[in-house]
Parts: sequence; C-alpha cells; structure tokens
Amino acid sequence: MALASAESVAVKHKKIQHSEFMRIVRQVFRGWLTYVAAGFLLLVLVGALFAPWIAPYQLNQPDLTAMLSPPSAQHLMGTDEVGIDLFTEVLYGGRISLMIGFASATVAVVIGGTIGALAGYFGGWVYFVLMRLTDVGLSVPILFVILALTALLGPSPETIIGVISLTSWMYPARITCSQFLTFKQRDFVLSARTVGGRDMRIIVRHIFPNALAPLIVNATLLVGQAIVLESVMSFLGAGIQPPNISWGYLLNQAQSYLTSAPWLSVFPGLMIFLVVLAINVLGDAIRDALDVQAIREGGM
Amino acid sequence: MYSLELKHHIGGIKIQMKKTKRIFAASGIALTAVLFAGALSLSSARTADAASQGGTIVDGLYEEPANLNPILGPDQTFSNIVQTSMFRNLFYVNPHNQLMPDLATSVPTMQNGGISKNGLVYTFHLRPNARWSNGQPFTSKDVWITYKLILNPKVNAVSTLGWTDIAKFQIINAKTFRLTLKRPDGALLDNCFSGNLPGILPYSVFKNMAPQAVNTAAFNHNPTVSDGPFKFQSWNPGAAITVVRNPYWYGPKPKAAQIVFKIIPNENTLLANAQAHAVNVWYFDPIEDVSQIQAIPGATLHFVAQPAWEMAVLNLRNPILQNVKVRQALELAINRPALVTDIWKGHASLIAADQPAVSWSNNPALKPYPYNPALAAKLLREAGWKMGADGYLHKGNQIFNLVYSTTAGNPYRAATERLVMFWLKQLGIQITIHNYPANEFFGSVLPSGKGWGLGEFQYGDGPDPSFGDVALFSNLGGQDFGHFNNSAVNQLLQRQAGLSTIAQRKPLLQKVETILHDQLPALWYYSPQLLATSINMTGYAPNPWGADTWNCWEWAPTK
Repeated sequence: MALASAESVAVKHKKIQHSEFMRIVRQVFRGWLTYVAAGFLLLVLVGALFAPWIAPYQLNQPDLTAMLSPPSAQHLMGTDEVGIDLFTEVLYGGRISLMIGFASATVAVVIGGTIGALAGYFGGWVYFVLMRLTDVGLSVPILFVILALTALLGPSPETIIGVISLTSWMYPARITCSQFLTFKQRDFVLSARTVGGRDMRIIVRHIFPNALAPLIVNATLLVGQAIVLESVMSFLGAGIQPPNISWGYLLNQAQSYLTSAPWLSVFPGLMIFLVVLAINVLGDAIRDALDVQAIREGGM
Repeated sequence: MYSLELKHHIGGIKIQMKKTKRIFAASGIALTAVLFAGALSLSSARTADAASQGGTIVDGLYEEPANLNPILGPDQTFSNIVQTSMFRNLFYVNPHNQLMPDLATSVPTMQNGGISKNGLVYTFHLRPNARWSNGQPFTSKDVWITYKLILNPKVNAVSTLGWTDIAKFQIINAKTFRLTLKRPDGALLDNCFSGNLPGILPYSVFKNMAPQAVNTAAFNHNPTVSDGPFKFQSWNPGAAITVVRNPYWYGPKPKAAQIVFKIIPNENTLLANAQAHAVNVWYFDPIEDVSQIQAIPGATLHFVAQPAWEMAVLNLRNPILQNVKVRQALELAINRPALVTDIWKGHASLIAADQPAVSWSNNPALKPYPYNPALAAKLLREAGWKMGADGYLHKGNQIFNLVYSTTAGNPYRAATERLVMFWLKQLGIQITIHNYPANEFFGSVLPSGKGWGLGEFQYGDGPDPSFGDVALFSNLGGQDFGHFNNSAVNQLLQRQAGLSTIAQRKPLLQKVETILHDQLPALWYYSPQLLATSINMTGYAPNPWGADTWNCWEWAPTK
C-alpha cells in the first residue's frame, strides 16, 4: 500500500510539473506581441533551414548581366556586386548568422552560468578566484583576442562561435553570481540544506531556476551581440568568408554601396534588426513568466 | 529709454513719446546699418585678402602617413603625396615619363658630359637659387648626408636601390658633386634622385644625428626644414596635416596659400566629403563610386593609364602550383576580360605579363592569355588531376584546394574573389578565401610564405620598370613573396642593371617579360587606370609616374 502511494506521488509530481510548464507557456504567450515575435522567428528559422529548397537561385552563382540590380520581380531583394540574388544570400546567410548567434550565446551562458553559480554558491576563495578571472576576461580588449585567435585558427564558423563565446561569458557569470549570492541566503535554500540536500542538487534544482530570468534576458542580448560581432569580424577580414555567407558578411560588403545600392545593406540589416528584436521580445516574455512563477512558488 | 516731456495734453504726451520712440528706432536702425556695413566690408576685406593670398586646397587622404621623413619606410603612397608637397629631389618625372631637372640644373647624360663614357661617373650641378625653408642654400652636403644615412644599416631606409652602386661620393663645391659607381647603373637617376621616397634630407638638421636616432627623430613628425613649394605647419594626428607656402621655394609662387591633407580613412566618408565639396582632391578613387563622383557638380574625374598592375602572386612553395601547366590552367580559367569590363567598367586593360603598355619595357609581342576554360581543363588533366565524386579535382588523396588571400575590406577584390571562386569551381578547383587587414597582409602574411596559395594585390611601378621585376620576381629584391627565384630572370635583371641606356636594357627586360608570361609566377589580371578627382580647383594633373602633388604649386581653388 505504501508502494502504491509512492508511485501515485511520483505520477502526481509529473502531472504537476507538466501543468506548471503549460502554465508558464501560457504566461509567455499572453500578449499578441509574443505571438508575432515567435511567428517571425519561426518563419526565419524555417527559411534558413529549408533555404536550398526555397531559394530562387543557387548561392554563389554570379550573373554579370545583373550586377547591382535593384529589387524586382526577378530578384526580390535585388542583386549584389557580382549579380548574385540577394534574397538567396539572405536565406542562406540566416543559417550561419542564427547558428553563430544562438550557439555563441548558449556556450557563453553555459560557461558563464557555471562559473557564476560556483562562485556565488561556494563563496570564499572560489568566489575570489572565479570573479577575478571574470575581471581579467572583461579587461582584455575583445577585438585583440578575436583577431589573434582567428589568425591562429582561421575564420571558420566554429572558430567564430568559440571566439565570441570566449569573449562573452563574463556578463552571464556576473549576473549568475549576483543571483546566487542573493538566493543562497533564502529560507528555501537553508531548508534544503537542513534536510540534507547536496550542493549540486541545491544549485541545479533550487537556486538556478530562480536565477534564470536575468540570465535569459542576457542570453537574448548575447544572440544579437554575437550576430553584430560577427559582422565586425567580417569587416576586419576575420569573419565568415565565401562560400559561407552570413548577414554580417553581407552588411560588410554593402558598405561600399550604401548610396548606390542601398538594398544591399537594408535587407540584411533589417533581418538582423528584426531577429534581434523578436528574440528580445521573447526573452522579456519568458523572463516575466519565470519571475511570476518564482514569486508564486517561493522556490521549489 | 524714454525721455518723457511733461505735457499737460495727453495727446501731446503721446505724440512726444512716439516721436522719441521714432528717433530711437531710427538711431538703432542706423547703428545696425553701420555695423552691418562694417561687418560686410570687413568680411569683403577678409575675402579679398584670402583671395589675394590664394585660399586653401583640401586634399582627402585615405591613409594617414606613418611619418614624413623622405628617406624612411614604410613605402606608402599617401606619405609620398604629402612629402612631395614639401620636399623636392634633383629631378622629377613629368606625366610623360620624362626626367626633368628640379633641384639640379640639368639631367646628366653622356651627351652633355654629365655621365662619363664608361657610365661610371656622374656629375651633378645644383640650382643656384635652391634653398631650404629656413633660408639656407641647398648644397651638395644635403645630398651627401642623405647618401650616408640611407646606406647606414641602422636607418630604416625605404629603399637603397641604386645607392648601393655608389663607390665614391665627392663634393666638388657647394653646388657640384660627383658620384663614382662600382658598375654602370642605367636606373641610378630614376631610383635615387627622381622621387621623394627616398628624397633629400637637410644637412642642417641631420649633420650631428646618430643614425639610429633618425628612425625616431622629431623631424619625422615635424619636418621643420624642407625645400619644396610648401613647408610643414602642423600635424593633428588622425585629423589633418597642414602645409603652407614656402617663401624660399625656387619655383613659381604656389597659387594656393596652404594645403590641408585631411585624413579620411573611409571611402564612404570621402565620397560624402566630395559630394559636399569639403575636399578639392581625392586620389585613388574606388571604381565602384565612379558614377556618383561624375554626378558631383564641379568635379572632374581623371582617368590615367599608369604603370601598375593587379595580379595574384602564386605561392610556388605549394607543390600544387609547381607545375607550370597548372599555373597556365588557372590563368586560362579566370575570365579576366570580364574583370576588366564588369568590375572595372572598362577602366583597365589586360596584360600579358607585369609591364603594362605605358611602360617602355613592355613586350608588344606578348599577348594576354585568353579566357579558355576548356583548354584549362585539358592542361589540368595533363598535369594528372582527375575529377572526383565530390565535384573537385583530386590527385591520389589530395584535393585541389588553394587558399586565396588579399586585403580585407576592398570591394573590387572581394568581387574578384567571388568570381574567381565560381570560375575555378567549374573546373573542380576548391578555393578557400582568407583575407587580412592590409598591414598584416603585406607586413607578415605575404612575406611569411605561409597560409596562402594565391595572394592578390596591386603593384605600382616607378619610372624605371625594372624596379618591380627586381623587387617581386628576383632574388635581388626583397619582395619575392611567391618564391619564384628563376635563374634566367635573375641573370637578365642583373645584366640589365649594369647597362646605361634604355636601348641596351630594353631587349633584356623584354626577355624577362617573356619568361614571366610563360612561367606565370603570378596570374596577370589587368592594369587599372588611376582614378583621381579634383573639385572646384584648377591645376590638378595626376601623374602616373609620381605623386599627384608633383605640381602642387599650380593648384588653385576656384571657390
């Protein structure tokens, strides 16, 4: 009878978790703006994923009879300086830019979150060492590190993700650390310790969910920052090179044609702007939903 | 300020007040008119004064010079532009590639006795009225101190070419000196005395300076003594260098009172400045801005054939490129006529080797390789390359992959790369693009010989066409990036260096061209025209053989 009770408790616990999750999802999508942002991002993701099937032309196929053509029925977004269809480039560019953006932000948040969590939870010399390491990371000129690493490793997408992550983890680390310093003194953490909860369980199950909100917001900012940073790297010759195309590469190439062919900068720039805006809107909605959840539950 | 007169009649009071007001108003108007007229006349006086003084020419510089010392490296076009406004040499090269006397009274030749019959002794006569901007005469000692410092290994001289051939420097008197050479050198005058990189230093400044101190001398950023039409006034780093009329310049009084070299390291900003008439001169305009520049009212766009060529040097350390059939296939596979018509809008010409048609060593018997991808494919098969299932050529386990490098941020090169990548892909050649900032590309990437297979850049030759060949494709220069080191070319270049006349040297240099055409140490793209813009000014005449400031005393603003 006791065993049956334990099983039903476990099932109930799962049901509770599922309904909590659905409540959070409903909370996230309570505004129309979130629907628009999510819908737009989904559209961009689908476009990027299915670019080979959606793109009207082949990538990296010049057409010298159509160089720098303005938008038209044949070329929705116009063509570039060697006659390649810009809509095709924007579709394919989305693959690299989004991958770099999300991957860099994810890696930076994982690294920074881990460092910040350990520093904030354990305190003492652990805090001192890890936070001083963070300070060192913040003091080093980012572009210098980026150029040096890219020169050593070559400008591939993997290198760029690694380089951007290595120069972006410090802010998530600081945010996570400050959250942990705040929450580790709370009653629910003390209670968890009192009943014998292990450090890793307390960090992962109790404190981290409460520290998530600002981290998510920071992560959304990092996505946009990573996409822009890739563009700066392209300007310095350290970014994505053909045959890979990114929105940053397209923006860089458009510099010389700002007045003569403005579509070259407008469309990639608009994509970056709208994607970053949509990610920020979603990030805000998720943060608001998690904040409400944290207040209601007082920590799990 | 009312002067109220006490009147018992209200109307009278009002009339009186009104009258006072009118007087006051009239006085105010009169005073204003006087002041305005005064300001106008003052402004007119200033304008007239400025006009009589010559006005200011603003020259937009794309790069800031590293220094303004006429013997120090690096070799920078934009340093040369500023230096040429301040420093002159014994001779200058006019736009027709003719050597003309400048600080010397005549060009030494065998006919006038200035060069001995054996070509070993040169005698120079200096202009009697040539002076430095501090009033001191220009003398043989100035040339002597220049010679001593250029050859000193502690000095970072931009070039020692020609100077190393001097066995003895003899000062006859203040205005005459004689050089005895180790061997005849037909390019001595061009390489040593016809430009401002290197130029001539003032003895009064450098006579007691230790050679190692020359590299970091204050003079390099504050050239207080010069001998050209303008003299240095100020250098605001990152912003502008200003030069003003040199009262001791021997030539005609410069028409402009001053030239401001405005540093604008961004072509969009340069274009915006040109459109706003904020610059009068824009040298080295980008080809993609031609139509917009031509639309600027008051602007004249100058297209000039120049002794320069765009190429992709081949790194012959790479085993793939060591087979001449492969190099020829690459040349045939690239649609260079399309680069000329579509990227350069016709403002370039195809070349068979490195010397364009304007150069006297150009070999007219040589023709540019045609665009023939079928022949290219055949040559690659003969070289043992077979098409793989992945769409790329293979030889055993090796895939045909080359790294293509050039300067980052250059639009026409970026366009060229994408086109080359496409054309070569049709033949199964995989191109990996890796670009670098210019100073890194030229400073370390090319010289290292590592990490690149094709290196695209443009080389601008001087008046003597052997300079580029020696520098880039022989073991005698210092820029054989591709490790060509062809013994026949080395011998021909060495032989011609010991001859005195063009007639003697030309056949040897044309043989060099033939070898460069057949052996392809570089893919010969085209010779681009020089593009430069002048706005609201007269006297501007870009010189393909030297800096565009070669005649800056003629520059005059029209507005």
